[in-house]
Amino acid sequence: MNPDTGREVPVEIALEREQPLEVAGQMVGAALLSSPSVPEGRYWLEVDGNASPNPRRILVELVGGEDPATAAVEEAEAETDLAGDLEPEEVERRYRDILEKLRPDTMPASARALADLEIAATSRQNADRQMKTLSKIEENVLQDLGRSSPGALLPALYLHVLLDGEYMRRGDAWRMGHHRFRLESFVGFYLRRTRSQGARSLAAKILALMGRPQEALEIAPREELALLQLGMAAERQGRHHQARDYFRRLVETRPSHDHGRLRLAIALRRTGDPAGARTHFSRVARGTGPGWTRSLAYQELAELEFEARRSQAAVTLLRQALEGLDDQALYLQLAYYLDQRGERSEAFAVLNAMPVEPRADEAASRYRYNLKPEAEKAAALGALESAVTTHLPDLRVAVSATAPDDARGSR
Amino acid sequence: MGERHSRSAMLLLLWLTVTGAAMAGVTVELESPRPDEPAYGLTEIRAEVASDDPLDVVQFFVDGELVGLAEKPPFSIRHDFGQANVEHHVRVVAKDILGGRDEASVATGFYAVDEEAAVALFQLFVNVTDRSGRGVEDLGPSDFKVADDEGNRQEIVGFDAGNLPLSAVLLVDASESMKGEALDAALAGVQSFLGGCEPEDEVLVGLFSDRLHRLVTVTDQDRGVVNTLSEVVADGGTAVNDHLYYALNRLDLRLGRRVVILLSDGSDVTSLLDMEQVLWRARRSQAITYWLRLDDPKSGAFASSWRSFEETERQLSLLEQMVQDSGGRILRVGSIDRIDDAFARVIRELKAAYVLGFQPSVRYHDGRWRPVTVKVDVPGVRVRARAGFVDE
Repeated sequence: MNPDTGREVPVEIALEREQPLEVAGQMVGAALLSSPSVPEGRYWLEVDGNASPNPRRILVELVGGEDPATAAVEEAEAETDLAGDLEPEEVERRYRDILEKLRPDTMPASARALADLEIAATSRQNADRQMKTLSKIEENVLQDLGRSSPGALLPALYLHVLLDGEYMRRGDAWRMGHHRFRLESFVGFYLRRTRSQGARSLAAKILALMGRPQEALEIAPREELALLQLGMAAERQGRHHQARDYFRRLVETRPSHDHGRLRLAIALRRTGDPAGARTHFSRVARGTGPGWTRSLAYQELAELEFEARRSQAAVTLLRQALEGLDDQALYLQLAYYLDQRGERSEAFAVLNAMPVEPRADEAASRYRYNLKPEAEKAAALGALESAVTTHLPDLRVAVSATAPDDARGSR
Repeated sequence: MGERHSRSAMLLLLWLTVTGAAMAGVTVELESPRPDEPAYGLTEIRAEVASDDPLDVVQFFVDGELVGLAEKPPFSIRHDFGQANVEHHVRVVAKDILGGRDEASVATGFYAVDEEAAVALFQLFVNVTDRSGRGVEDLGPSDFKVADDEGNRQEIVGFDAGNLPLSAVLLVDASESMKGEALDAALAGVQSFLGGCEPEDEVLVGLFSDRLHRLVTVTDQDRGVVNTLSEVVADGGTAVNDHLYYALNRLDLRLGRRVVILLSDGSDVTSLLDMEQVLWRARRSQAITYWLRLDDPKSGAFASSWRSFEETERQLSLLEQMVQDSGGRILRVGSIDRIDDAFARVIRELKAAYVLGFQPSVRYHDGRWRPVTVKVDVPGVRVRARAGFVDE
């Protein structure tokens, strides 16, 4: 948002480390705008970083970049289509080689090898042209494989899912951004070759894992990870009715989804349905889900009681929660309610009993709620991996069968 | 089959009737408080219970309200009767698992006085500085004037010029943003603060993020305990409100000059408690709060599923208000190498503060915040003090 004009300018940007960008007087990184139509000026930039789950709003000064006309000329004058004097044939050969050697136990290593290859083949100087060339090479290979054996595409796509994670680990947001667009078109190709319900479900998982939940739902309207992601995004932007609808669909799809049910209950509370919220909170609180979801359900239930001037019921609920959970927030909430009731000594006793040294990995429930749904992403990745394993032989056969003539002859 | 059921029901009914006849099997007596004995503050309620059958529960009531439960010996709880000089009705009910029950009750006494004096004493920590920011020393009680918001002058009944022991809670942000050098610098700052303390001062150091990682009591004999805090790995979010509330409560049981020192950027999108709720407690506490503010004021706020950007800004404003109301202040710490200096300045200020005790000349007992102003009869000085008190 431009703070001077109040106008919101929705643009996607990728931040890259070690490139200068002035943020509030400090150099912190560089912004690559995917939309060239944003005028120069000061903007509030919402940064959804990896270090913190909470988006941060920072003031940025957007200044003019490279002149597009000059860039086009430079691109046209570029001597090669790929960086590092790599020939397209060489990149294709190495890409096929990585695919052929894909094994269940070497997949992360293969993803690293593919990242190395793509980094060698592309550079920022001639970005568009090199990315297009790279994309064309990979797409041609995948089309060959798909024509030979549609099932072979699944392990190849899975490799690209891991490649996304590899770029994330390397902090290479620029290549990750480009790669995601490419992968989306690869998924489209996979769907055109395989029309089964199972394939649609797997394709939707891939898209959800790549941060494209809306596209995932267009393929599989009940894809759980996508529903959760869209609900969470709506929730963070204050669109609580929309969040409620996504979470409701998620819980209808899988009633045992305690995390989704907790979020549904919170959305119901925020949209003015405390009775509906109470029903779902109670179910989560008394369920067998993760401790943080149960703790939060108790906290919210107690708050509903307290707001309704039933402070004794709120106290009873929290004491009940503390019989099985030891989240510090439960102690603080209970102490505060006792304090409000004038029961100071009881409040002190509760705070004195609060465990202080939680396990290092035991983040507070309310913090956990803000985190990205890593457990659900891991589950989706696991489901994908199981399907991939059965198709690995298809991939090896297809790579061999579609190898260029000279390569086949040399075997 | 149906006949066997109805016979079982009859037998059960008969058995319950016989059991009911033996209800006198549970008896309860109140051992404390004794009849007519005045009950104030935190007081033990203790009962002697005997039962032939297994006990279900013993309930404790004060003035008709359930205040505690016990399921096994000792049948006692501690209850805060408050400071009012009034009679209380204490009742204990014991129940066994077969429905037997007995109860005992007493009425506590109160002190008979011809005229009850309002004895509430409020403390004001006052810092007086000259134009160059240096502390002004050698002032006496007659140099100070305290007045409420209606201009009523308040009589100063207690005065101290810096010899009261200190009870401090140092809350150090150990969230993700403090990882590495920043946390090391913060702990070095804590050591500087401790260097300015006297042997009789009591200091608690808490490392917090979205949770309380570690809390240590530092005594004069064991300053080294702070070194153990360097084991903590900073991670997670920042729940300032929750931990300020915790710290204020820890201090309420202490004596002397009480202070909370918060080292954090203050951006809180995780806390359960709203800063307004913390302010409610802070205004009833006599603690001063200092905030060593780590953030860059030109950078914006955070948001989360719990709080929007605007809401986070509101929380920050309330935190600023809480600090000012308490008579403390905000010290902006632009870089981590200035943390040490900030802590050292705070302890110097605290040691230089005057402590005034006053009894409000007019009492309203309405639970409202009553602003007070402190003036010093010396030209050109700056006075910083608590902004008021809650008249309950």
